[in-house]
Amino acid sequence: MNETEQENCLYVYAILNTATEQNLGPIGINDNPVYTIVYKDIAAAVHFSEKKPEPAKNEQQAKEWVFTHNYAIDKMTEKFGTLLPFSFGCVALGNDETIRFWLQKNYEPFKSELEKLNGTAEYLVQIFYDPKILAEKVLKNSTELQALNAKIQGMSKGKGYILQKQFDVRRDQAITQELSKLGAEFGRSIHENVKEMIPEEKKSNVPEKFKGKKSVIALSCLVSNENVENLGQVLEQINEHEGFAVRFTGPWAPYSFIDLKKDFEHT
Amino acid sequence: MMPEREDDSLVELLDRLLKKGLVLNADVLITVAGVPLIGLSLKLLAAGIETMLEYGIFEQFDQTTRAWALEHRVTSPTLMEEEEKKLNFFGSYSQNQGKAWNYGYMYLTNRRIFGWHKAFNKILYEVKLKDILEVVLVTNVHEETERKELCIKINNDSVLSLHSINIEEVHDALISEIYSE
Repeated sequence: MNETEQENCLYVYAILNTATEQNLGPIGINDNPVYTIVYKDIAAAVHFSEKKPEPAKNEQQAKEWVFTHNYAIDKMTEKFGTLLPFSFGCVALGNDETIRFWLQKNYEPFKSELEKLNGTAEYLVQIFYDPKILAEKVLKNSTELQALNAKIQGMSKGKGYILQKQFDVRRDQAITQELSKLGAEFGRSIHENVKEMIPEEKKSNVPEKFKGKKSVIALSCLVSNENVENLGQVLEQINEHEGFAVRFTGPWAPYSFIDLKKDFEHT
Repeated sequence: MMPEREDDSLVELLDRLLKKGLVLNADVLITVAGVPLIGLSLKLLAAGIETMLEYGIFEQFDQTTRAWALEHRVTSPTLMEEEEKKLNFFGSYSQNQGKAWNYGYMYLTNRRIFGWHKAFNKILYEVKLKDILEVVLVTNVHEETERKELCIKINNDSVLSLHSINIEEVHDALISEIYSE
């Protein structure tokens, strides 16, 4: 064995609330036992890792690891309440003492973040609309579009093409208007029931179930446990709007809401 | 309605696990009592395991994965019987006049035009030539510059827009393929 493999490394899952050193069982990636390294009343959950862990053999295995990582986070959340989750694949070079010293050094920001997030979880709210239904709706409500449409009907395909384009643009504008009006309305009612919300930057994935629909907005929401039901009711009402559908997923650990950079700057 | 974690929330899960959450990196923490706390973070550029392998984010650990990718790399898409490649080019495409333009390798054959994801041998979109209603070269403004885009109208009301450096050549080739079909 070469010397790098003897160096101690730790795969880090999360920072959580506990004052007790404990073994959490073989819930880690590749059935590694996960344990806590404590400083005062906070702890890091880790498993022992080689410095150069074996790479994933294939996509299936990589997927399993990601799921296992998340399973470990879920188990720990059950046991310790809201925690600060690490990204997948963070390996720290050092032993338990290194980690403990690191917790000590950053105790304040970790602790304040844990307190801020206590009793909350992250949810994803996606709102989709059906372009066909919305197109019908705006056509019904606009005399201008109706007139344009009637004109096109009487023309040959070639002649009608430009007019059709014009119609499409106007209709899309009307749809956008309708969407932004409703979107603001939806946003307000969601906002009343969440502690924080962040629009997802990435173009939202449209799951199979919502095929043919388009995304209006995707929001990561930090929600207090006692507010989840209220939020669910609000979303149900949005879901009942004709032409709209809501996807409500979670709970997740508060991946999107950890803001340590800010805290670190303070210290 | 109650929140769910369905099978298809994998994307959301990956999004969080790979792109968000705490990381051990330079702007958060580096040394502890003079001992460097190195973060071997596998943070990704984009979600999805496929992307993960493609971008080689296991790279830091991983030569095997790259070997795997090399072994499994396919250099051209599988064509149907009696299908013949006429033109291939690198470009971007956008569906149904959406704002998002994605890049990919495009293939024009005597049967269809399609986009192909090289690393994963996956068809990104495909349009059969016989389903094409109309092909127009239009001038559009994209990121504040004018450029030519190829607008392909398809049977079921959808529109595919293509752009590439040689879009005029693509246009001509496509027209001639449609007519010869």
